[in-house]
Amino acid sequence: MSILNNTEELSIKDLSLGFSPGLRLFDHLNLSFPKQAIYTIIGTSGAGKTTFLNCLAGIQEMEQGTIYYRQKIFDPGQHKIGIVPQEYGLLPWHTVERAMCIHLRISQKEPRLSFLNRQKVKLLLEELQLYEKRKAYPNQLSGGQKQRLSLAKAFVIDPEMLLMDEPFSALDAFTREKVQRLFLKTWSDHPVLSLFVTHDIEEALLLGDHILLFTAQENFSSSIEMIENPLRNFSFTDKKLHPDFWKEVKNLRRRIGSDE
Amino acid sequence: MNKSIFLRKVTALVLAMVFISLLWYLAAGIVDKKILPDPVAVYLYLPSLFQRQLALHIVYSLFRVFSGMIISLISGFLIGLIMGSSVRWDKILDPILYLTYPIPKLALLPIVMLLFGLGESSKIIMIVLIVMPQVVMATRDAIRDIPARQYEVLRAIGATRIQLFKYVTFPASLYNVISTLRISLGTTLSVLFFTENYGTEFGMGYFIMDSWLRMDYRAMYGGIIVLSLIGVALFFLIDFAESYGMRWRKRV
Repeated sequence: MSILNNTEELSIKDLSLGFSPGLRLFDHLNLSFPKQAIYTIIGTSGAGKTTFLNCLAGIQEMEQGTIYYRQKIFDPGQHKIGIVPQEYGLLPWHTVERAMCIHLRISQKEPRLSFLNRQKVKLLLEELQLYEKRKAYPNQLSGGQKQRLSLAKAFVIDPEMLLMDEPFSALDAFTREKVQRLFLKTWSDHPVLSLFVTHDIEEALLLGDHILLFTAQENFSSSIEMIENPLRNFSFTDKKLHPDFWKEVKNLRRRIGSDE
Repeated sequence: MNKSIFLRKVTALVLAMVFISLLWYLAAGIVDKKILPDPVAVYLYLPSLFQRQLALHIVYSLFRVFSGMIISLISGFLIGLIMGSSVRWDKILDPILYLTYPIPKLALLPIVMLLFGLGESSKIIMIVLIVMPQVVMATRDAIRDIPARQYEVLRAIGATRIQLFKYVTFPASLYNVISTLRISLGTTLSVLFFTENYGTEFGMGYFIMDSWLRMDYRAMYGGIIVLSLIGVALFFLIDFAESYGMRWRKRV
């Protein structure tokens, strides 16, 4: 393994984790995330995709190992981490606007929001097409709107890392594509190291600059492989229309062994 | 609650009251005895009851109900909070709650009166004994039902324990607590009525039973109507608090 190099965003050294003595989910795992980019994570179920995100979020304790963020030891409690879960993670008693403001207030540890911050909330809501809905409560929003709010909340705090666990899997195909496009657009305005778990291989190719393949081995521990998305230089639409797109989907499907 | 819904609700209640009065009127006509006076006579008699300190009786009853409910709310919420957020405390307190819940609390009245005297405190304690365990359970169950995700999202951006309580735990349990208050209101008023028969000369319970003993049936029926109206008013108050505090539950 390489020595820490100076441009690395995030690296994981020697991570081990198991749920019982005989079963090791991660066994001396080393991984490095060199750039501020979107890393999509796909793999067989039970290969530890969510557990991996939980380690980074500080929800799951590691048995062994160190995480470095920009050459410093990473302590989840000291960093602003935006989480976008599948079930939106919204509080039903906060309106769209209030949810955004509370998120900002908590992350900035200040009781009041400055004018600049209010503008930021407004801008992001406009960007994610939620401004008209700013006075609405979550149960007055559609699935797509809820997920966009979840995204807006994550982006508004200028997070150092974005952890997304199958965020769009509950949406129907049309809504999903719209939210995917909006996500990419918002991301390019507010780039941040993003880890994006998905069970949808197409989504992994459409959104990720790099793709992490999690595969469960026979001894229950999982192997992780990072590949560069061959289509990363194309836009969302061009990727979809690219002659190699379906070939790559098929290729990835074979590699995680879900085509048998 | 918006205005037109409010008006519709009031109209429906007035109509229901007219209907019940009508049934009562018919029954009174059939029975035709002093023990069942017709509603018109009772309604007309109501104003004269105020010369017999009806207002003071009402104030006494309201004071007991409110004190009992507020004490139950605060102490029940705190205990429920402890049980909901600590597995260890839940293990210790849950069997106690489970064991004491089915005990008919009214049967404890003599003990409470022996220990706390015949005054106000034993009446309020009786209400607390009945309402508080329900608030405890409602709070605890509500807190247990909060998905861990809702905490994780906020914790990941650096929320303190106080912020988690303020933005997640407290609002999540509020709804359960308010609906519990509504359910226990009927029992609370029954207990109030019962306790007001002992050691006091004020309160609606005393007023009703006193009129009964003196065979002043119009006053007795009037007292029952006033006590019922107190119940309706409290119901309204809880409804109002709910629709104001829980706007987020409405789908528009």
